[in-house]
Amino acid sequence: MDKLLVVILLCIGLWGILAGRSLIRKIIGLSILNSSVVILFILSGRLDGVRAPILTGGQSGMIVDPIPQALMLTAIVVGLSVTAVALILAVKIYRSCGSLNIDEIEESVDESSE
Amino acid sequence: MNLQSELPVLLLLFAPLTAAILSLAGKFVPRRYYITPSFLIWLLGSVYALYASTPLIFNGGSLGYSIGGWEEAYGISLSIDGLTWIATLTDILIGSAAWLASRRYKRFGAVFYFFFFMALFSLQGVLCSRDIFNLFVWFEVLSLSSFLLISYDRSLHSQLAALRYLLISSLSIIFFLFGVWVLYRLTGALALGPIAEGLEASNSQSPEFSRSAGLALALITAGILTRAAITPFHTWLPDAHAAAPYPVSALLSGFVIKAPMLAMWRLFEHIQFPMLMNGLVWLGGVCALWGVAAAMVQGDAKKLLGYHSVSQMGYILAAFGIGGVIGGPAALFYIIAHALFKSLLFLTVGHVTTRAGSRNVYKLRGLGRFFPLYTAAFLIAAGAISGLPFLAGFTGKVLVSKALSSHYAYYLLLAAGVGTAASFVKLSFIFFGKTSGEHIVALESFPQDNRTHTRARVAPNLGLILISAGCIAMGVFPNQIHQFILMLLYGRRQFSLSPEIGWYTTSSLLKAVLSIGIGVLIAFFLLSTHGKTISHQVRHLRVGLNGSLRLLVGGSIAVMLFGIITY
Repeated sequence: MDKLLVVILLCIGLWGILAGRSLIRKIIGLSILNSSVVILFILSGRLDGVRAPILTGGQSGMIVDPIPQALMLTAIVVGLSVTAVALILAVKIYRSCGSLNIDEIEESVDESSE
Repeated sequence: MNLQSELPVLLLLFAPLTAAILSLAGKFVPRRYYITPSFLIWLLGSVYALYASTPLIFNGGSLGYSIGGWEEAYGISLSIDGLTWIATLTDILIGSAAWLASRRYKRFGAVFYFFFFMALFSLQGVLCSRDIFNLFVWFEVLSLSSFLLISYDRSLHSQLAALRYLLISSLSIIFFLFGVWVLYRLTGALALGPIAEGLEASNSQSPEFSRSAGLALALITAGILTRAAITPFHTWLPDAHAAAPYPVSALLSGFVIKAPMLAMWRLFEHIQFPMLMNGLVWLGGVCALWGVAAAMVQGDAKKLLGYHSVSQMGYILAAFGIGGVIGGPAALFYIIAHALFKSLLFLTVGHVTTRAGSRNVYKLRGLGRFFPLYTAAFLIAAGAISGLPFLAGFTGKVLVSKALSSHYAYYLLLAAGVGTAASFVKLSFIFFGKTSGEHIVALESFPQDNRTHTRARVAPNLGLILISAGCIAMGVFPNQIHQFILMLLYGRRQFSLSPEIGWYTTSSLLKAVLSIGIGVLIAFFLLSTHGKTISHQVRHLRVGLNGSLRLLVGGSIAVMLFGIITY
């Protein structure tokens, strides 16, 4: 069930980034893809146990693997920065050519370079 | 704390970081208080770190530092060995030349230098890291700084190129992270050494295990190949490197695309995956030919250079795929040679096209008269990349052909060599012939306030001379440099391993002369009216953003399936 969630998110993200022409839609797709990886890592840590990884003597058996959680904290921050930069670039592109449609943007870049 | 072994590692990372922070502080102070000091901090810190680590490195040792003292398997450990050492040396040379060239322009301010040094910082991180998750973080810092450097000109073209690079590289890093997850589930480790041990120990366990391992390694390889701009994952590179300010292009093409190759080297240092390696040799051959075919028809001088970076990465990948004591050093030799001549090409062509106000290969003519030194440096670099004897590219090609001597992919590289010569003969026409009126006007009316004082105008020449000298040295003393690389990689005792290499034999010279001769003929065809029409038509076949994203996903799935089947 949990794995199904990851697969569904992965498919939605890929669909968002591959299909369609809007830059914003692609950036949202990328963000969803990023979340699917984060969820995958967190879930895999959960497979080993249920307790919070805080050792207070004698209950070391069933703890959640803390490493994926630490890794994903970093991955979330990285994903946030990438999304922020992508949105800034999208806004600037929109300001200079008045469209978010990738075909129209590529056309106006071609015109300006020739 | 063991000062002798840990200090150089920390210094290598903290020198560029300090330079970056100092540059950012430069937003509040005049230029003279931060520009040169930050550069000197980076340069002296890194050079001292390299110097301090020589006693251990030259005896085949390595030095490391583990952050927070965690266990190797899941802690963050950084280290320097022979490979890192020589890569860092190249990085310092290219970085200095790019910095010297950038000083010519006043528009590069605090923010530019902040991202410039952040890029150098994360490059160093990629070179020192021994941990796949840590590698992901360094890659992301590196690409974030690259996006901002590429779009620094704020033109629509550069912003679209940066966004395209961002979407492609972020999508590929997601595949990379899936690979990391599978490897972590299989081996419980993130550091490369323990992962290799984990895979080795349970190698014969079950078909399911080896399928997952193959899947993971293939996904990670696909992620790295995207960063290294190998066909079919290369689509971001030509636009990004053409749109960036030219000192940045020199750094990006010179070194940023090589760092992922070195990371892949680390990954497959201990892990055996012969089928994938063989696949990479073929992919390298295809990439070399594909890149060169696209480069030959380009009309934009910097885009042409960008496609040649793709093609040259193919040579490196092919030699890397052969591996072993011949292929490995050949790949490293070619990485250094390409770093030198490609950054030299971007610095010279970038400078003259910026001044002339156009990048059109078909229209610019006669620039040699205005820039004698730049023309000389360009000719050295163009000769090197086309494989002219007594220059870096020729000796690099001798090594690569030695490595691939019994592999059919060699013929792909041979054909790519002819195309490279053709394309650079075509490009070199911008320096000769009769200058047209509008470009003379552009050259003379170049905004004066864009230049700074005399010293800043002289300094970039120093970078050119240094790198040109490097190109010639690698062509004239190839044996010494090859021996040095072998010593760094395998230590002193393995000298007997080094194979006899005939650098300047009749057959290698004949091959070079023949391929350059055929190249000249093709170049004249490309510049004829027919050639221009065909080039124009081929140029219009390019893939857009959506096409390149599909190519990336399709390519990654193909690599993934290949990995599952063959591991």
